[in-house]
Order: sequence, then C-alpha cells, then structure tokens
Amino acid sequence: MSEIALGAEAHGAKVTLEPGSFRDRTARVFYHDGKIFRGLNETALKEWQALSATNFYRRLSATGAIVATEQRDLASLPATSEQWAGVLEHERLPFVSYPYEWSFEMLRDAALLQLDLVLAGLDEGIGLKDASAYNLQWKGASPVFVDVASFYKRAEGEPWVGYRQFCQMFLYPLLVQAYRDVPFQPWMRGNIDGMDAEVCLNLLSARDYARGGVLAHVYLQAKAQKAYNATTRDVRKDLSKAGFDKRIIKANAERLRALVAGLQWKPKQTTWSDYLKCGHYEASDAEQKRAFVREAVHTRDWTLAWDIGCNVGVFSRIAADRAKYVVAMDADHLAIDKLYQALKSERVANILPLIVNVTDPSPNLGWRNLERKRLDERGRPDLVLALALIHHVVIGGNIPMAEFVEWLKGLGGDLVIEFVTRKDPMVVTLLRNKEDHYADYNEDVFERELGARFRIAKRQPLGSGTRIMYHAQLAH
Amino acid sequence: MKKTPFLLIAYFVWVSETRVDAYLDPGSGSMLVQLLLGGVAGAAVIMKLGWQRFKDVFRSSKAKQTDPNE
Repeated sequence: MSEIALGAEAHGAKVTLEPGSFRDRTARVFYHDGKIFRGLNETALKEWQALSATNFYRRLSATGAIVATEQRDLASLPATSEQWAGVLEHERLPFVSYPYEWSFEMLRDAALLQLDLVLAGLDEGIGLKDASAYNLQWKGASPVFVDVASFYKRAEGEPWVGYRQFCQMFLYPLLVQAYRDVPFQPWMRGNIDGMDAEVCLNLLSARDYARGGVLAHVYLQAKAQKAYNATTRDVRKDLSKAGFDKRIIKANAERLRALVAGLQWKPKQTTWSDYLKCGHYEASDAEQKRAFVREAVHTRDWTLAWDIGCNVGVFSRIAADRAKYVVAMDADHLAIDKLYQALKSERVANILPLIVNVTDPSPNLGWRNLERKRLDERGRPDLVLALALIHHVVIGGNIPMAEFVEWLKGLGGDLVIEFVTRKDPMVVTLLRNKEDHYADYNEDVFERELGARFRIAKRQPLGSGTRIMYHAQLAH
Repeated sequence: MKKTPFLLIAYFVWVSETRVDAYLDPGSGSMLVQLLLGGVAGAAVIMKLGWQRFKDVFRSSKAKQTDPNE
C-alpha cells in the first residue's frame, strides 16, 4: 500500500496522507477528492498567516515561483486522525519528479530559485527551515517551490539553517558534475539527503581546490563538520549572542548564487551527440515518421503523454499539440539537458524533460520505501511514444521482447511504437560485439506480442524498409 | 553592559520563536563556516566569538576526539 488511509470517508473519497511528508512535524501533505492539501498545526498556521500577508509571498506566488496556494475551511474536509489548526490547498502539478531525474541545468535553476527565495525573504524577515531539493518541482521547464511550510518568521541572530542542506542537495552535486564530469544523479538516487561534504571532497582532485567554491564550501565545511560533530556546545546560541545577523546570510547566499550561476558542465561526447552527427534517418523516413506520429497524436486529446527515449524531443513537441502534459524521458543526460534549455528559452509549459533509463527506472525510495515514488506511480500516461527505442531495450538492455511489450501495456495508454528491424544499421551496430541471443528480436515476434496485448490500429513501414511504425490501442 | 538586556531579549525571542520548529540540524560546523563566507559582518562575529575558539574548528581532525572547548 503506497498511501496511509486515515479511515475517514467523506463524499465517497478517502483522505490519504502523503507518505513522503513527515519530516517537518508542523505540517503534512494529504490528498482528498483528487486535490492536494497541507494540514498545519497551530504554529504553522500562524507562520502561514504571517507569510501570506507579505509582499515577498504575494510577489513570488504571482510569478509562479511558489506554488499557488489557498487557505481552506477545515470544516469542508473530513476529519483526519491529526487535529490540524488550518488547512491549505495547493495547485496540483501535473507530474512529480525528483532531483535524480533532472539534468545539470535543471538542478542549477532549481538551486538558483532556492537561493533567490533565501535572499528575497531576508528583507522581510522570512527564513527557510530547510533547503531540500525535493521542495522544488517543475511546471514544464519552470521550477516551482512547493513547500510553503518551509517559510518561517526568522528571528535576528538565527543563522541560515538550510545552508548545509543546500550544499548537500544542490551545490556538491553541481560541483562534481561541473568539475569532474561525475554524474550527480546516481548519488542523489543513492542517498535521500544528497551528497556529504566529505564525499564531495573525495570526488574532487587536488587541483580543484583552486576552483570556485571548493575551499570554502567543501573543504572547510567538511573540516568544520568533523571538528564539531560531537560538540556539546550550543553553537546557535553562541552565534546569536555574538550578533549573527542577516548580512552574513546575504553575503554568503549572494556569493553562492554567483558561483552556481557560473558553473559550467562541459560533457564528453555522449550517445546523443553521436546520434546527431550520424543522422540515422533518410530525410523521407524522418518526414514519414513525423507524419505518422502527428496523425496518431491528433486522433484525440490526451491528459498525460510519455515520450520514452525522447532524444531531443522532436516527437514530444508533436505530442504536446494535443496532450495537456508530456513527460519527455531519455537516459542520455546531455539530450535532456539540451532539451531543457530549448524548452526553457521557448517558455514551453507542458513538456517536462527527465533523465530516465527505461530499463532501470526510478524505484520507490526512502523511509519504508514510500518517501519517493517509483516512476509509474506518479501518473499513468494515456499516450506512450516509444520511438527508436526497442532495439536499445531488447538488444542493448537485454530485456526480453515479450516483457517489454507487457510493461508498455501495463502503462495503460495508447502506444505509438517504432520497430527497428535487423537490417537497420543501428541494430547491426548494437549486435556487432555481442553474441546474438536475441531470437525474439524480429518483426514476427514483435507483431505477435504486440497483437496479443493491443489492437493494432495502424501499421506503416518507413520508406527505407528497415523501420516500421505502429499505432496500437489497448483492447478493452 | 548595555547590550546585555538586548541580547537576553533576542535570545528568548529566538528560543521561543524558532527553535521549536527547527526539525533540520543545521550542523554546528556549517553554521561556523557561514561566518567565514559572511563578509565583514561575518568577520565581526568571528572577532566577538574569539579567534582562538574559532580557529579550533579547523584544527587537525586528529585532535578532535573531544570538543576543544569543553
């Protein structure tokens, strides 16, 4: 069971707690009737009332940087096991994603928004309790801060509570990617708290010490954490007494902002950049393929489309014509990074680019394996594009053909899929250094497996004869 | 000292208003590093804290089995 039922029923809909929302005990996210709410205790309610009256909050919620939020009447909701003093309703974002699915530029933009909130809040006496990357989500290519219970009235003398967490969740992952070309996603997926200063330091080389941010934010912080790990002194009290003030936070956050904004990731060549050079399609094939996908997409409107193996997003954009929201996934970090930058500059609001390896998709993670949800539990698509993908999955990823088609069926949507035959140069390349154990990789088996699970609405070989397009619908 | 009442007030306001809800450990070492990155204002606090105590933070970790200030 992925959600905890509170047992309360009203209007036929249960109230369910969000199992990943428990660290901050003053507030908790729950769902009711397809909507998303946040219960607040008395303290959190007071903080909300103060926050919602500030220019800071009005300005940033108006720009969409903070998720749209309204206070609701408690009496309009069924009773829950916890006694809340107040309740907020948040705009429901189309698809939840996690930092281990973001590209370098996405994590950087999320980091900049986090810092901007810290800086903007200072002037109006507002602090942030934490700096978790999970407090940010996406609306297309725009980051949105979703945890309004993070804001609190900051007292003078209070240090930036979230500084260490900011480093662990944003700065260190960005530094290792920029300075060492070490992908941050596996580290973020491997540790829900991000990357420790010590680990970051171990990943950097001696010459990186001279590079921006390393000495102060990584080396000194790792040292200081070690030195003060077991202290019984009340450092917060000491700092407050010694006159810690907001100018210190401001100077630090401004320098961090300049550092983060200036980081550059210069990747080595990836599959994607090879792909662009090779150009696997003859021009007529590419046009036929686009027309086929366009026709399938335009058969109706869609709520959520997944473009699996989206590459640079050509077909995600076609899907976005008729889909409310498209999640564009590819295992290639650089492809997703480029797509994100393009979508950001065009201000596309209904395509979310994510790094996903479909043969190893994001699992359930965290406390009781319920804090972060597996990919397919965050919204099932009603349209799936799987173009130029199957050979990578079956031959590259060694996934049996029948299992892959079964998984696609399990997603529960219409399927537009391209079969790449054994005559295709890409398949020849994939098999070049492998023993050919792939008796199931042929057109007959593919059509049989597809036909057993879907109704094939349309089939069309592309002009070159090495690729075949299918529009398959679930047989109801 | 003239400042004492103010500091006392600031302390109690701080304890009553913020500590209650702080669920995240900001890290003692990380809080002190903030002073180094805090420009002139940070330097002023370092002076007040006492340079001797502050520099203990960055001493060799071998000497850190116990807290240097205890």
